[in-house]
Amino acid sequence: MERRFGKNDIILLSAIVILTLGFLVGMTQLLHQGQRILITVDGEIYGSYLLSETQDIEIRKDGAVVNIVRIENGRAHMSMADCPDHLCQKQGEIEREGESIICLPNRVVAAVQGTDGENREMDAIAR
Amino acid sequence: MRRRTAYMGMYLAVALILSYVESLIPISVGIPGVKLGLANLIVVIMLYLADWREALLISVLRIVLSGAMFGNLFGILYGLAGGLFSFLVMALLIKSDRFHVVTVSICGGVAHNMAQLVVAAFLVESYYVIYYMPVLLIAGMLTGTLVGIISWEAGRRLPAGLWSKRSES
Repeated sequence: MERRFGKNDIILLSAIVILTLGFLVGMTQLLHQGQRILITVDGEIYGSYLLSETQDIEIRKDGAVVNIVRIENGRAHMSMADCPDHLCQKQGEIEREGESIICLPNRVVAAVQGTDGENREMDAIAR
Repeated sequence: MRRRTAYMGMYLAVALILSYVESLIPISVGIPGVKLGLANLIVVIMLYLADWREALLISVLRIVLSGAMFGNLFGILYGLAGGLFSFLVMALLIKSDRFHVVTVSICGGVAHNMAQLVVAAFLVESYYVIYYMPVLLIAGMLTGTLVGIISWEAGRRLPAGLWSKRSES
């Protein structure tokens, strides 16, 4: 009980803090890694696509292709847009839960989602 | 021996009161089961001033009794998992005689929460529970620090002869 705070304490406590930070970084990476791309057109769900599969998704309106979303290496970006400003193509790549690309003229939204199954399992403990 | 029994009864009573006080203080971090760990005070103090067997006895009795009075069966199960693992870690650290009281208490708090999370993962049969680990580790460090400081301050002020190790049994 009379022992003073010394080097041993600092080493042990630092180890715990490092362990915690490691968990924190690892978990947030895992937790927010998106699983699927949800595309909505005019506010209605157009389709949901796996981020893990490399693919080109053509978005058609009245038969004509207005946008192409390309999924590559677990990330998605807008590779083609027929609108005049091409702003959505400049929005870059998305991969994390909650990120989205919006093409305003065509009213196309591509947003990253996590898997529902995981979230449901995680909530089981919170009841 | 009789005197020792009386002291142990008193320590158990204080531990139970602390459990009760704890149940009145709601800390909400979005996870059930996060508590201040005030009753851990008694375990830390007893580990230093009494025999480890007596400390273990009081710790287990405290968890079972307070679980029966203020909690439920699952509370007892979680509590025992956390309490026993944290007891083991703290007893070993104290035996090594290389660490400060606050360090011992922090390790106890962290060990407590880790053990509880492992039990929770088994109970809900999902390893996604592990996502709670960082929050619980941080919570364990904070409550461990608090308990450690109080134990240190309280332990220093207790009369030296009060709990001489096995001297009078």
